[in-house]
Amino acid sequence: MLAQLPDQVDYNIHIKPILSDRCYACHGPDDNARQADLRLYTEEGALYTKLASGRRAIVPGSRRKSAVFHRITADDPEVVMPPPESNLALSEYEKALIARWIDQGAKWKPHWAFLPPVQPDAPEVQQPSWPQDPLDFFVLARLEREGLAPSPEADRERLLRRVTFDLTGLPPTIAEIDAFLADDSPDAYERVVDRLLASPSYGERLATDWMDVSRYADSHGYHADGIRTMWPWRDWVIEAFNRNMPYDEFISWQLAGDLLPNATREQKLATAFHRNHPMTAEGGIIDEEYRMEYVVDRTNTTAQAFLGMTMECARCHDHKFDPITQKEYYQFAAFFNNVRELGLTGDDGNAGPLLTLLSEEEEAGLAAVRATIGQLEQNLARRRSEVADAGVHRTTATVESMLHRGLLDHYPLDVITDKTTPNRVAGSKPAEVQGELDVVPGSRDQAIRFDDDYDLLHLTAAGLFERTDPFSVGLWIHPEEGGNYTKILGNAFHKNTYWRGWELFLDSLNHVGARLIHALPHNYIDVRTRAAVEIGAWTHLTLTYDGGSRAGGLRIFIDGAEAPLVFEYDRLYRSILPVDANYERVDRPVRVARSYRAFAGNDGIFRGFMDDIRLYGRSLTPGEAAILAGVAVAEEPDAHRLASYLHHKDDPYQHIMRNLQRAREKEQELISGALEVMVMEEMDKPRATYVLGRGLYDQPGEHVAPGVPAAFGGFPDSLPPNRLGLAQWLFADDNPLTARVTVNRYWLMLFGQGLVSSPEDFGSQGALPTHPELLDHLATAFVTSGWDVKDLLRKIVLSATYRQSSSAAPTLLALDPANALLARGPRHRLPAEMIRDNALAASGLLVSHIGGPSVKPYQPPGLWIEKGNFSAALLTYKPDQGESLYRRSLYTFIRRTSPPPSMTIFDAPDRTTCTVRRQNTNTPLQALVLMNDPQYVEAARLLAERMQKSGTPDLHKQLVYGFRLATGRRPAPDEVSLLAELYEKEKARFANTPADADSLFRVGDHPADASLDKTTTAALAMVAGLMINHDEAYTKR
Amino acid sequence: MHECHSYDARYSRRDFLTRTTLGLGAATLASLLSPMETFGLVPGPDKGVLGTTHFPARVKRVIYLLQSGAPSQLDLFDYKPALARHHGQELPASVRGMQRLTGMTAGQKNFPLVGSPFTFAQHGQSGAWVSNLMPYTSQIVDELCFVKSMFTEAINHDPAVTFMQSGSQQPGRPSMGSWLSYGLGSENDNLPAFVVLVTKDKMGQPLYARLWGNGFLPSRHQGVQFRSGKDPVLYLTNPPGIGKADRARHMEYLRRLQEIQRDTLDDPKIDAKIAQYEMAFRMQTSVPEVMNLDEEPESTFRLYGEDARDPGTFAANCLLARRLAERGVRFIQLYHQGWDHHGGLPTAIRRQAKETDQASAALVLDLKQRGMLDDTLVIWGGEFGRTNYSQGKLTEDDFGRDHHPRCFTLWMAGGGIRKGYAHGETDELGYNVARDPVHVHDFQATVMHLLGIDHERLTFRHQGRRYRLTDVHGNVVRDLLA
Repeated sequence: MLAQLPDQVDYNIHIKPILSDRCYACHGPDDNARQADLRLYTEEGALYTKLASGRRAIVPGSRRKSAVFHRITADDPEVVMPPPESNLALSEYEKALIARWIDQGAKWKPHWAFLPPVQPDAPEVQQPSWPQDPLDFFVLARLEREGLAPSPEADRERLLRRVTFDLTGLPPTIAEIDAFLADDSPDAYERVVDRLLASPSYGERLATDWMDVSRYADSHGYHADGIRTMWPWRDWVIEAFNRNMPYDEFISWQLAGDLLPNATREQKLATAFHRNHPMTAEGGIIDEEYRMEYVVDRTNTTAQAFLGMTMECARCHDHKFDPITQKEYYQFAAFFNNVRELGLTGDDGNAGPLLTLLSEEEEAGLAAVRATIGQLEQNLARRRSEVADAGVHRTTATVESMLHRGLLDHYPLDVITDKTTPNRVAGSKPAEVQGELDVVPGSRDQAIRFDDDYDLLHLTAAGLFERTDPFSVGLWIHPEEGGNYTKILGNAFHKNTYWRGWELFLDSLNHVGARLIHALPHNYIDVRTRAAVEIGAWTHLTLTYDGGSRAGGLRIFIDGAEAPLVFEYDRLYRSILPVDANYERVDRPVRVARSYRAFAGNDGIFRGFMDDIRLYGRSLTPGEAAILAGVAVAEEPDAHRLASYLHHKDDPYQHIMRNLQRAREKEQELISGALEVMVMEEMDKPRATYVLGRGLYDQPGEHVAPGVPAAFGGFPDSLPPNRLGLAQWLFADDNPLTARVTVNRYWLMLFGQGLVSSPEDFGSQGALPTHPELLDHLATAFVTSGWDVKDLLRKIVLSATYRQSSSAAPTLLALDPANALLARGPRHRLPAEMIRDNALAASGLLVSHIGGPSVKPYQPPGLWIEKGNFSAALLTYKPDQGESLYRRSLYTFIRRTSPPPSMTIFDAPDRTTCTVRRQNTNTPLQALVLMNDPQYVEAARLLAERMQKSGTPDLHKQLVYGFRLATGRRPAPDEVSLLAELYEKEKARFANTPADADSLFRVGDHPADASLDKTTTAALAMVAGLMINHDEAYTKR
Repeated sequence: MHECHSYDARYSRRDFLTRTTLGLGAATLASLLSPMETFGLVPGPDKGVLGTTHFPARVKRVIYLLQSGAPSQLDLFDYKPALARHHGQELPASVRGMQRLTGMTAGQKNFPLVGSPFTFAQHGQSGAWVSNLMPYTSQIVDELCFVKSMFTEAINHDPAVTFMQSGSQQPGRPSMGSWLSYGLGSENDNLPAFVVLVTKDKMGQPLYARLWGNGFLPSRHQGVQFRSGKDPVLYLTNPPGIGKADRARHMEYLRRLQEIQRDTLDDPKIDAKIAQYEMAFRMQTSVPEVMNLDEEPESTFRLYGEDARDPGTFAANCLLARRLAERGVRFIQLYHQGWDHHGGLPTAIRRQAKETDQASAALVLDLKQRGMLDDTLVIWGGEFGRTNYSQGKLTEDDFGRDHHPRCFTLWMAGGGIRKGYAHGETDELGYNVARDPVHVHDFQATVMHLLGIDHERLTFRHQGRRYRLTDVHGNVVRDLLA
């Protein structure tokens, strides 16, 4: 065995993987887990620090003096390392490696991945004619060192199919194959590659992998798993790849596009990347617990996707293997903790912050109407000044009779009969009583008392105000308890409409609050009085609103006096009218004394008395508010008179008001249908980030500022401490990881395995690069090229390495089953999307249209409803019809809790977390999909029709044509005879059982071509099915 | 991830097959229909990564009757006379302590205690307390081991059921069935090792495909759902117009085409593909066979109840679970939704109990009479418990109970389990565990132990770390073992 030991033992290659895997759990970077104060992960700790025993762990050159050697070779279970209870052990080989390494001087090296890559010199090779690209020298040198020769170039059909799938995700057409086969010019292949890179399908292919990395889905993921709309971002990704956006820009926009100076709509849209994480709407969850999960997801995804680090291990404690402390984890998380976002979201629909997406015409239309609104608002102010200057208002007093105007509902709350209390406005509905309300002496006469959690009033058919409607509310309250969010009245709903509606309430300091909400947490206005109301006393409240969608248009009068306000939030730009869970308009009653919120622990229960509720369809004047509160004085202030005059007497002012409201309604109409996408948006004041004990939201510890782990070079002071700075750090010249991780992932995409076979982990526990210099060559060349992805892919696919045949002689297979040495070309089962797209392309059904909402192709019935019925939008899966059944699989609707089975069976992930490497399995369920999924059965039938329409009546030629469509190569004669033999048998049996053909033709929406012979089509469909199930159809070779 | 044994298999297959068998005939068809050993292709069923168990297994398989939504332990098994005495009174702050509540009741100003409206009595030799909602279960209590001191960390369904099934509140880890498939492999070469059955038309708290997902384990370890109706396994049924003999013919021609490909390309993975197609073809027979209850005698339906005749009901799924267990399926996971009684509990729980009681008890009895209870583990329970106070208004005949992670009850039966035993105890108001708490990870460790697995040693290295079902926690609860 010792004979097999390497002559020169290398710390990074041989020793560190052992120490990391078996020793770091107790002697690694985690300060809290460390035993015997031994730091085996640092040179200082391992070689120079004296242990309690007085020894040193490792003494270079001396096994005898090295405590490590004694401990790992001990027989005594009390002494041996690792201890038996760890369930870890060292093999004899590993012990021998460590011993030899000590003998050879225990030379320490820093972790390879944390040192910036340096362009290596191309190695000398014995066969200099082989390389096509500089990268080939590195591969060839390694092969020569191993005594291996590269494989010959792949045959042309397979090479073309390989590169076409790799760069476009689609098979080559027969015309493309024929053209390539006929083209014997030296640059034929190069021109194919350039054609493919220029094809719009290229963007779709690259985007498909990016969807895995960015955990894109069309649903929220947790619990109800309702619908979200993120596809416009997916389309931006396709477009970005197609125009070959430099990778540094591509990522910087996604991480921090919103923070770029004068950010464009596209730059903001790009940030949807970090809103792709799952979200929950499960009633009862703790908001902060899940908000923190979203921050954690962004943190982990960023580390995984760009740095190739398993940073999540440091969420709960210092990383066990890599030099990342728990504090550094939260420093990194601090970049992502400044979004104004919810933990508890709605069952269906996007959660803010959102970006509104309008077409250019719509933008222009909106800008025009907003200009009109601005003009009318100025006109209104001017008219007010004119009147004030002229002084015509001074003789107008505010009088009680004015309060009849615009009164919509008036509930005196003096009596309850049959569970209702009257509404004094003619034609209006009485309020409905729930619970056991008592009528008691009140502010002036009788009042109603709410003294149980379930006592409340519903004001039906009342308070249905749009944000463009001026309105007012007045009432008396006498709260008996305070100190919590307490609802007074309103129709603001719960999470499933993102709390849409309006409400008047007391906050936890008993300040009066008013909110008009389209959607929390980003689209509403919210004001609070600076003063609190008294608990245990009567107070009159009037809320007025001017219809202008601004916090400044809300006024609150306490006991008839206007209360100074604090603006908590001031951005309302869409409807506040109540909707149901399907976002359909609904006449939700105004609820009094309890909130509609029911899932978040803030039920808003009001305990106490209320009296005399009035709702007005206009904004009351201050003088009117004073009258309502019974505090009107004879010597009314001039401002009160002015307001009452304008509102009641001045026709020009009224005229402008009406025009203004119409303009606001027009604006509302223009924006109401606009698509919105979830994006990142920084809060004005960053949220404080803390180290969380055991990773738990409710155990905040030390306060931390944004930063990156010291081992990755640390975060320079010169960069802004936000996401933009982080993006700049990722692409700084001395960043050791970003370029390597990226080129490795693209290598994986083309070869089925990365140069680092653990693309998700470049740390201590990750694999070492099989070709370290090649990796650094690619990484540095990638940076030098200006992060040019097309250039990177072009170089790789033009390389001799890539072009090799994938066939492997048994000897090579035995020597290198995983093809780590690259002595042959890549071969592996195609990804789920390509398998389906291949069948669609072969059959001629594929629709090449790019982008748009996700589509729902065939899926077995019942899969959604049997998992749950919380999402109204995604209750049952209804397959689309027509073209949408045949779009590229990139566009298939991904519902995370019930992802499309025909895709997941082929290892497509459910998009819950960032995935940089898919499994590649082979299971019986895959055979069932290819044989029985209607998508494939239908495709086989269409392929059968296509064979018949190929311009030849000759069966063999038709079969060759079909086989080429499905597999990209010409069949061998023995393959054709087998296909023909089956065809004849099928033809005979369908002639005997024509009804079977009819049944078969009903599979799939696409009608059968009646001009063709039924029996022939059915028989050929069986043969076509075989072609689609053939190894060559779904394997890259 | 990689097909085991396929490389070796290639040669044995070649040895076996000669070019002369290319002619189609009855013999070939028969070989397709018969188990894999005919070909000697795959070395018997998948033995799992462990090869042999860490210590002698007490059971070979698990049937887990997961009651989704969380049944009220206080109305089924955890008898609390003191709660009835304090009915309508406020939950004492000293009992509640600083424990967090869900957002659904945290906003209540009152927390009135609710005694169970159902009658409890002691049953069997063991004197186990069971309410009158569960008359059939009452009759088998001497076979059961009740754990009355279960507790969990999650307060909501999604994280809690994910925790119960995968040992983590966050999605992405393999489920218990996947771990066992990975560790122990399959005992059957025509059926998956891990089968999932969901009661049809239930509604209630959502289920998620990830609950039977393989997480980071190779995807062949994911649970395969068997559904009532035309396609018991997704895509199992041939398209209309294609019969079994037709399919056999296609399979044979496909195999011959694939063999040409293999010989040209020298790729042993093609043999593995052929093998999977053959497995798929056999599943087309074996799955409908196991789903077909026609040959079950009348006595079966008397035992499980008339519901068992209606495919997709809980009773039918219990019966199906027995049939799958007979055929060596390693882990059979049932889900019965509808236990989430935030309101209207008295009515709703009756219906839930009626749907599950008889068949659950029948399954235990049936396994016993077949001698299979000795090497099968049956588990019955939800993802957490329910509060002793009312959610929503407590009225004379109505109330609800909110989620309660601090204590709940589940029962187990089968090999290695201490029969007629109740483990642990809650306080007199049924709010906190008073004695012998059993954490979800302890429960999982104990299940693994019964299967002969040291839960600390069945690991999978992913992203640089060795993961296991019990994370870094869990202790086998020795008291539960016979």
